Amino acid sequence: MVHKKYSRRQLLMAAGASLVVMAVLTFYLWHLTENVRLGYAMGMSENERQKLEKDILNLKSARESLATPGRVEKIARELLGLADLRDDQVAYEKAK
Amino acid sequence: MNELAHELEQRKARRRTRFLAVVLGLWAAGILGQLVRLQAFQHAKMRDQVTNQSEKRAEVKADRGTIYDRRGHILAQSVSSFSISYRQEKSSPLNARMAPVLKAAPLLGIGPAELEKICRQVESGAPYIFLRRKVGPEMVRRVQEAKIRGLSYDEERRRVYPHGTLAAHVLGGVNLDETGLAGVEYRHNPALGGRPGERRVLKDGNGREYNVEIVTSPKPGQDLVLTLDHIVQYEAQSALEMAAAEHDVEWGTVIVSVPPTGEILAMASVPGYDPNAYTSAKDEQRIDRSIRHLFDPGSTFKIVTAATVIETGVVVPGESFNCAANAIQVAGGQIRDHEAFGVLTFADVIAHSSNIGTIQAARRLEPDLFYRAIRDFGFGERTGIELPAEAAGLLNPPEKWSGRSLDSLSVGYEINVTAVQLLQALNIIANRGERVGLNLLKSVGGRPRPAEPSSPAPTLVSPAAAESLVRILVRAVEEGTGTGARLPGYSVAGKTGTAQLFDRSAGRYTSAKHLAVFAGFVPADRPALSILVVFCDPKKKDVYYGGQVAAPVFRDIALKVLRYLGVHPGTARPATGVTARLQNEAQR
Repeated sequence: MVHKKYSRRQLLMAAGASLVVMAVLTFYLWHLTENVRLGYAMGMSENERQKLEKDILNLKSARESLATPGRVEKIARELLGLADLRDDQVAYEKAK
Repeated sequence: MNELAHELEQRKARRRTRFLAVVLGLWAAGILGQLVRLQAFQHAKMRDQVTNQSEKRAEVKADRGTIYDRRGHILAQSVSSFSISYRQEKSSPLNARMAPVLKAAPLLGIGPAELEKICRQVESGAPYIFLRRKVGPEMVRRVQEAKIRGLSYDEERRRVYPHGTLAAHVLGGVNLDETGLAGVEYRHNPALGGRPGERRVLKDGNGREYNVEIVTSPKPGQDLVLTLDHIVQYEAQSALEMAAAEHDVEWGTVIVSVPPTGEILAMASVPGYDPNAYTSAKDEQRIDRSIRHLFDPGSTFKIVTAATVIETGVVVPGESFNCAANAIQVAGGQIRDHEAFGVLTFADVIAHSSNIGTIQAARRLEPDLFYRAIRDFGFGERTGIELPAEAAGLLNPPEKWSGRSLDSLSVGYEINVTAVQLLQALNIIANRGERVGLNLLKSVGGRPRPAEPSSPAPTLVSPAAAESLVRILVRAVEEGTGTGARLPGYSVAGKTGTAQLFDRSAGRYTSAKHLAVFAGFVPADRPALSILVVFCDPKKKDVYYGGQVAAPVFRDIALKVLRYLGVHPGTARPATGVTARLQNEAQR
């Protein structure tokens, strides 16, 4: 059997080309997996966003029910001891 | 010999090969035939079958719009909630099927009666049983932590009214599917509800969803901004409820409006209900008394009679009427005064609510003219307020009048009105003769309502005649029957009314049951507020007059609301104005 002898330059070029191909393939695979990973992450973020939006709505509603005039009046009268003005009292209000 | 054997072997092999080729050929032809049959002849049927198995199209509900008051406070909103259901495996023994339900019951607050009903459903083998609908995320979290097998949690929307009973009749209510059933929820259901979308769900062989695609996006419902102010509504509703409890009334209603714009700031009725549980409210609680209940307005209707006689010039306010007699003869009987008066000027006739004086003045009117005036004030037709099921009232045309109809009408009988009609008539006087329609809606989906600027309000009573009547109404509060509505520092114009109720079983008016009314506006010179208060059948002994029952409620509401709006004694207009702006998004 006769083996063809390659020059060092040819071997280096072949190795370099292989490395480039491998690098491109690796990048391609990384790109694919990263795309999928980011897709999942985006999906999860989107779900989280929607959940938070719903939470905000629920909290707005809860805040509104905590600040109803009836509740505020009850706290003012029962906890803070505030009362209506007597007829002989004068209240000074800051000009709006 | 060897060659012969070899020849035989080869023949045998060829035979076998041919046989195998034929079998394979037949097999391939069979497959090909089946493929052609499925792909060519049964293509449509097969495609439908596959689609049905792997694809599901479902409706995507649109988010229902939010209802705000004029200051941007949420009155009704849809939030996310969950339905908790149980899917049982029929193959399991009954005890095992029952266990998850028994474990979940205390966490879901299911009572013994309800639990028994659910257990019967489990026994019957129902595959899908609702345990709770429209529960909040906290309850779901609690149940999920218990890790009970077989429970599923489906997300849905729930309508929430954060202020509870506040403005219940205006808001109305919705059913489990968030369809409006009453109030603005019903009237504006198409705008609030939006348009549902469609989604396509792909499922694998085990029925698990692996892809969801929105085919048509849902169009969310539009937000509504009402003219109501939640603080004014609270003050009016609280005062109404307190007085209703004190006087043990059958029903009551109050409406607060701004006469120059016709905007309604508050509207409440008792008995009321909580719109968060609309479907469990009783029928009598759901009736919006301000637009649906018809009643004889009694002496408050003298405002219309007085406006007509002054406008037509048949009476001048200073003219005297002899009201010394105990009663006035009318066809088929007598009409009495609540006390004996002597000679009264027409201004005093109205201020002291003399039936005898009013009838004498009204008799100078032609029936047709009086009828037209009553119609011009808006009686006998709907006001057009943005609420469903508004009653038009009852007003007979003159050709159907009896001999006493004109007399009866002049003092507020033989006519059935709604509270909104009466307030609209009062506002005509408050606006010095201009008829401004009442409205409840500021905007729909950000577009102001009414959509087009209305034409100039028609003038029904001349400003001079209206001004004369306003002075008379101020007198009614200062020294007449409406002293219970006096406000220190403010000039109040108003009229009381006390009407006997019609006893259907006896077929006549009864003196045992009354309707107490007060209609007034303040300040009289440049009205910032008009308020109507109506109570039906106050039961406190000897306290049933409009001036005793309804006028103090007017005073309580007006005092607080004027202070809230910045209309202090001596100022004619709100210091800050009544703004319609929504609060900043960030502040909501």
